[in-house]
Amino acid sequence: MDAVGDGTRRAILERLLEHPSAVGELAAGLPVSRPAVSQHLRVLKQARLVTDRQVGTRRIYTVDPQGVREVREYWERVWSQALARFKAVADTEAQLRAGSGHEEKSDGDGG
Amino acid sequence: MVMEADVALEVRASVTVALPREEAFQLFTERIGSWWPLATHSVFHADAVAVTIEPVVGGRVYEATGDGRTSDWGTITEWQPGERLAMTWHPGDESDLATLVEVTFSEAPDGGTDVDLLHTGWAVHGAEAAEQAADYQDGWVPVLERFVNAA
Repeated sequence: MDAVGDGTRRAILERLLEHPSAVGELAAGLPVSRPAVSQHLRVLKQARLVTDRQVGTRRIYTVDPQGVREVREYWERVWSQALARFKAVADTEAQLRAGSGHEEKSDGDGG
Repeated sequence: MVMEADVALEVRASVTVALPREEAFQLFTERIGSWWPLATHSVFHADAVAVTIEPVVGGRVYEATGDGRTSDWGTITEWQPGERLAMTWHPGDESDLATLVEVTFSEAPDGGTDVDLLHTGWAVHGAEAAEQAADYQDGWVPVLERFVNAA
């Protein structure tokens, strides 16, 4: 749906990593219109990857390490919860196998 | 460049389980539905009834609802049964994103298995994924809403 958007947003992020910029500066270096850049910046800002501040008459955009950190922490929580569940099920199965010994022992290990 | 380090998103998670390697791998993949917290970590949330990892490079990783709706989470990029798998990871989004999840299974000293997961690459190369992740504060419901609205 939004492949161009993805590429443009990536390009915007890469430029902002190099130095904080205003919309006009970003648009000047990209093959998209200024309103399009504004739109992407809004998305990035919503995603909290980018933050902005007013400097005189200009609005300057920067990458937001705090937002990026929160995204990372989000996934840390997801994976730690998922793996905890995985461990609970795996350990229960291991215990059952050890406990029920021969009964559950299967010869074929094909599937 | 300091900035770059700050936004180099990289998540590691590890767990040691009592099952031997082959079986741990099998549980992780073939029977992911038996442990994945679908109710809270899925696109379809309460409606999600199954999650599937197709056991082949190029295979889909997806969740499904009881009435047959599916949502792709990613695509298998590496498949070494009992040892390692890798997949692209973009729950709730149809597009190809550069986020990658790699899971390695190695023998633990006590006969169990160390499972090490590495999730990388969504900052500069996967803005869309981060965008979703930011929406996921209360689970994946907002993604579902967006998904449905977009259809």
